[in-house]
Amino acid sequence: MKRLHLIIITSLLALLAFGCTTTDGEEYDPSKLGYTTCERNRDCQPYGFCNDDGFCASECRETADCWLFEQQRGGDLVCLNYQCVEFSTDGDDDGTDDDSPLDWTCRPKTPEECETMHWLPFCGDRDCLDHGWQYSCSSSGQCISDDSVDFGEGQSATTDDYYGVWGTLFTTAARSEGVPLVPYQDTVTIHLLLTRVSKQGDQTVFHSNMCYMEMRNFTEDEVFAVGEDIGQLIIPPPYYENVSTLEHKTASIAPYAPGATFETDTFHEPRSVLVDDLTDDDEVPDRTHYEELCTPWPTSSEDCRITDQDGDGLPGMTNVGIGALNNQSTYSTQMWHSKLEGTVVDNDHIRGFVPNWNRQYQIGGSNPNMVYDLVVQMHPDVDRSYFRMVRMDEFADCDDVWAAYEEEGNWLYFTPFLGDIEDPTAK
Amino acid sequence: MQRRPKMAIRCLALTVAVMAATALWMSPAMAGPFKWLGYDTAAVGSANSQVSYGSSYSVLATNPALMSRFAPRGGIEFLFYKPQLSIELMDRPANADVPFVFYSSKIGDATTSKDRALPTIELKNARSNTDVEEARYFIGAGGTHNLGIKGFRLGGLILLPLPDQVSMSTYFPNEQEQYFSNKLHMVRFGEWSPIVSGMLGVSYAPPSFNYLSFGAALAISVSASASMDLYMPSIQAEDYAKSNMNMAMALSLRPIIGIQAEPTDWMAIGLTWKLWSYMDVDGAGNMLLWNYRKPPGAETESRWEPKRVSQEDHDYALDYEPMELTLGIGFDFSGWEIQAAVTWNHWSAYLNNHHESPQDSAQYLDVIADSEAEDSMYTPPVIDGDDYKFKETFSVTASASWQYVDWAKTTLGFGYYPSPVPAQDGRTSYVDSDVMNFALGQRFDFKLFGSKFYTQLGLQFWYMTERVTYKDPSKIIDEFPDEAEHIFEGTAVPSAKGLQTNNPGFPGYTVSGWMIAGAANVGMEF
Repeated sequence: MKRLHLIIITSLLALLAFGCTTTDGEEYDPSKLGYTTCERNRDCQPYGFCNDDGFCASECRETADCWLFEQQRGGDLVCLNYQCVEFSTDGDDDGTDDDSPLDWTCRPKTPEECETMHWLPFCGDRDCLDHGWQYSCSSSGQCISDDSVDFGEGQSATTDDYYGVWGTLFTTAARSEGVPLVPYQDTVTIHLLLTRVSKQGDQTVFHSNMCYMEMRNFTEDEVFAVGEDIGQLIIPPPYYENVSTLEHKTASIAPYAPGATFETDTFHEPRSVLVDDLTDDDEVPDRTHYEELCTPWPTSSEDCRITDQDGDGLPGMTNVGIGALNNQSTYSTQMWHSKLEGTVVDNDHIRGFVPNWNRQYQIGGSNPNMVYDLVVQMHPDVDRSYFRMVRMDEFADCDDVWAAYEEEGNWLYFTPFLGDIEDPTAK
Repeated sequence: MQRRPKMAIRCLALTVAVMAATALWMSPAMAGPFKWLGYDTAAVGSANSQVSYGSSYSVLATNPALMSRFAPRGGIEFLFYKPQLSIELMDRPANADVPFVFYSSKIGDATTSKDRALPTIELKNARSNTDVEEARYFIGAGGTHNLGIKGFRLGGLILLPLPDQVSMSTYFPNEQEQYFSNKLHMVRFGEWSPIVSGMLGVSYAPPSFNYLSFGAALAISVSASASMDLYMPSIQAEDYAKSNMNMAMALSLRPIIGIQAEPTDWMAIGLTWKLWSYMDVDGAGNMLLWNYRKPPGAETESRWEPKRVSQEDHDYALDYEPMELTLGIGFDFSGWEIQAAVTWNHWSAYLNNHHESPQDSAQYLDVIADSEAEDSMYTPPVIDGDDYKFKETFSVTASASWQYVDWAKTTLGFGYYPSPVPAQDGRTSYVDSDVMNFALGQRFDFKLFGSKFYTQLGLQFWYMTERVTYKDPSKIIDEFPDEAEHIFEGTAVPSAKGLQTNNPGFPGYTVSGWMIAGAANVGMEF
């Protein structure tokens, strides 16, 4: 009997133990996790959308990011407003505002200030030219339209002559030695330009406003779009939004006709440097100059000839390394020289080569591992450095150049070599 | 008669000398599930409670002094266990995911962001529950012998897991596990590394003083070290590299010391001490890259020095078992043998798979040092590591055996093992809960060809009490800092606001489950 009592008591105790649940901590409150509340996508700009929980979120930067979400959710997903959605969506709740001329601000500069920077006299209009050559920057810092484009004395936009507004694809290929882990690195810089060709005195002048710049690595067989190579440097918007308008001019240009050729003078462009002689690359300040005369940065030393041209608070021009380069930055100084050797194809198309050379120095970076002494030369494949121009409406803007660039087969569509797109007259 | 005591003293002296010599170079060795189940069928059937009384070679582990208390014997074993344990993760808010825009954000340079998270969708494995369900099987053998010396026993046993003799895996108990399994793991019970186990031991109960018996044993395993040299000729050819490896393995031993006293013929007291144990694995790697040198920097004279990428000091500690001190008492009367034992478990010295203490692994020590850099955007929570130090515990085992006929005995056993793991409301998730064991054993004795044989069956039912853990968000590091800026625009990233983490334990989890174990053996008395 005693044994039975013992068994019963033990069993009851065991049952009691079975029923025990231990709880550690307290349930969290989602509203206290610090997320940004929202009611619509517009509240989450830039880089986000308003999710079903009423918080700003982000799933993607581009459609390629949605591939992994497709594996989970199925369907054919695209990136819209930083959210992976079905391809058939009509794109409502778009968070981006319509662009209004009233919102176009600019940084006015006097011709004297432009000369100090070795820029063109109208460099103060730089911020407005993305919207078209008819815009200029007022002293109050707002872009205003002149309702016409200045093509020079007595000139207007033409349909069968050089004068007009053109969309330009401009590529420069280079080979860099001294890059770690590889014998050399080939890169091509793609420039999208809104070009005004005008007559000034006896000169035919090609003024090109920089709409966009992009660097791509390439091998003999392949060109890697941004993000496809294991690591690469990219050109951020502050860089290409603060480079000089290009000027290529020639006093002796053949009359406009298919087959006519021309060669411009050399345009010398300093980037983040102050020099006396634009043709003397030895004047470009290097890393030693930076470390001895410009640190600590920012400096007020008059001996320092390095500027913050891109306005990001860092010395020189800033590039960003992505992929295996861990979003680290490099700072560089540069003197760049280029000329155009063009051939007229037809009324609306011009093509040619871009002989170019430059002197540049990496003066610093966000990480010492990003700073190397590189030797950069124009790529031996000369037909990788080329330009193509297509005639556009007088009031065309950078968006029009973009549209042409993105259309496969378009005259402005990027190809590794000039000859990869046939002349329109050959079709 | 005089020769036997001399021989006994010589044997004992030799044994002590060997044990002392080995003690100079011994290091901890692991035992996996057998610390819990027991090393043979008799132990399984008695809830591994053989501290004051015992009748099989598994006493090498519980109290080696008991070997002198039963006739020499040997046997072969078959053991298995089948867990049914689960760690269920709570749903996490969608905004806790690290988004792709993380790749386009400035969060500090390499030195301040060594442990960068991956976008959650890109993790190798999605966060998921853990189900520990795989059955494991073992065969073994053991025995004891007196070598002709009264009161002396030499004993040994070996257990082999089937089919793999060695199987190991490690994990991180915090957000670092996102890069690997992205699951939580049981820290103490259920997820063991099945590795071949062995023990050797001796005991001696002096015939003239035989109410005392002394015993010592060594649990035998291996420790390993490995280094690999890697050369990558081309960083762009991701799947092409050359390598060589160096590996060394050594025996490691865990000492177990026991004493048993029988002040009366119906009572016994047992005392056992065991050193801590774990499987120690050291790893190192060196990588040589083509055309990779130190950047110019200030040390221009070292400009052309090749820069090797070295990865040193990967130390692992698997299946840690704490130091134990056990005191037992037993009673033998009228066919009943009842015993109980209390064990002090020194869990406060616990080491995780990566050779860290729980209190260190809870504190973001690696991140704090980096966050002091000028441009670091990380603000790791300040954690008091003492809150996460494992606690000392007292576990209890007990059994009652009833010899109801000369040739049969039934045993009931019970064990209770409280959890040493404090509340895991912060960075780490050492998953554990209280565990209890109910055991049933049956022994049959029989004779065959004039020799005494026996066969035994043992069954165990293990129960883990349910434990629910909620994380405190203030103790979880924000892996996508709120101050992150877009690399292009230098503007703030709205989706960085708030807590983003790939810590698999966030926002919480529940652990529960049970396990059955069984064993069978056949043996013979010599």
